[in-house]
Amino acid sequence: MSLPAWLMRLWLRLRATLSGARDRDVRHELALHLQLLEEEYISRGLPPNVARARARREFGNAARFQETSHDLFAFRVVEDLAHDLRYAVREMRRRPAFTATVVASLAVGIGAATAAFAIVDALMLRGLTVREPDRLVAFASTEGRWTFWPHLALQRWQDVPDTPLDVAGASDVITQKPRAGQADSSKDVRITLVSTNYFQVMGAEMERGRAFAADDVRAPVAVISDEYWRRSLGVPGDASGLSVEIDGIRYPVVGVARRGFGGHAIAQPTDVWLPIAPATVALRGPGTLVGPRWATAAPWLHVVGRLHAGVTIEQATASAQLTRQRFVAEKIVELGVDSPEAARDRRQTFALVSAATGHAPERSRYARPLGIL
Amino acid sequence: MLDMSVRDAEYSCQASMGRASQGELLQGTLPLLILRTLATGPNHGFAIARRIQQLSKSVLRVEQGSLYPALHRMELDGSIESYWGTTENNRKAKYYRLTRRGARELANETDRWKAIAGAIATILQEG
Repeated sequence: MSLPAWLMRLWLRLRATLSGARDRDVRHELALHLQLLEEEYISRGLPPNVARARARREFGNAARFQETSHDLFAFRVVEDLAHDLRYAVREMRRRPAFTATVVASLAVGIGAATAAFAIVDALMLRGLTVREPDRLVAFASTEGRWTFWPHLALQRWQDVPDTPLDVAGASDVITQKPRAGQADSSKDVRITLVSTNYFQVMGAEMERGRAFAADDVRAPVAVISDEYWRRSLGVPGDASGLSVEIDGIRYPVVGVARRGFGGHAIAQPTDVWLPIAPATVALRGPGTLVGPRWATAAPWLHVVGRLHAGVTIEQATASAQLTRQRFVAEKIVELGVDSPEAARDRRQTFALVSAATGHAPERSRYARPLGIL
Repeated sequence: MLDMSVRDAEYSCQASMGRASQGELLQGTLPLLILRTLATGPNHGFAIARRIQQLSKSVLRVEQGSLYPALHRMELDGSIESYWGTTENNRKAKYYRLTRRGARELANETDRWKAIAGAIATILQEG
């Protein structure tokens, strides 16, 4: 035997189970035996009918050991399964209402499980596609909720000498109706205003072109996501010379973010990033950066940071709090200790939290039920 | 004349207590006899049964209810293999022949059987 014994055995069994040829073989084998037995009696001088009767009697119940042989060779489990399936199909055809109910329940159940997993995947499992996400932090309330800050506060944190972390600001997502005539005009365009160092701080690489530079606040420019590039600008093709038009202003595209990066807001991936500049801030509506100096203190930016190597989140928090205290003290000097704004600032506490998996306020709401799932 | 059935207890579902104890004594001997028969050349089931009967001078009679399950089990175990051939009367029949493994088993089992039979014979003589 050339094949290993166990493999040969498996082959014999599989063949017997699936083809039924084995049963035919056994029947033939037993029939021949019976016939030879009969002939033997005839050759001993018995009349044919007596010989046949005697052979049959002696032969016994052929069906019984045919079955024994069958069991020996076939996989009962596979066969029984096939029988059960055939039975199930027959029953289902006889009772269509019951079948429809079962199928519908299963469909709903499977659909719900799939949907739930999609949420779990997006909110809890998938991280940001950035360099060293573990070093990302966000400025948050002491309960861990990401908070909004005025542009001035961001600038103060950015200006700290020997800072243990680099910080960038980002607005919440601004949704705009797409311009007619785009390749896919069914989906809204999601815009985020960011400080020019946002991509460096996030650790997001560019697929094409470049990230924002410090002087990009002077002329209108945009960075777009790879997904948006493909979806609405009709690619793959040349990204140079592309532009996006928002509120009548044409923004030349200087870069396309690496595939999979949609900003820090995991549940709301950004299509277009624009630098925070007087012209773009108007997109958020009037009053954000205009008016007297302290009026620009309207909080509208999330602040994210990238820890320098070897810095712990506690050290960075302490440093940021110190800077904040100095800033608040300056304001009190300027506005007076009894001003409502000074009082508000004094009460405000904050801490840095890890932003390794991005910003998903839905996460804390769903974390427990999804975790159970 | 003594007429003794060779039954392999493993295959004999309907064996009564008396026969089962007789079969137990002879358990494992049927495969050995089949191997011995096939050592002289390939053969089909009926001829194997007759040959055993003949070689034992009609002392041992193999029932087909034991023979075929034993053959099939041995085929599955790889000590014999089967092929379709024709009898001297030009009938299609399933032939069995020894594999290399079967030949090895025959040698080992023969030695073992002789040792056991010798030991039992010694004991019986002592008694």
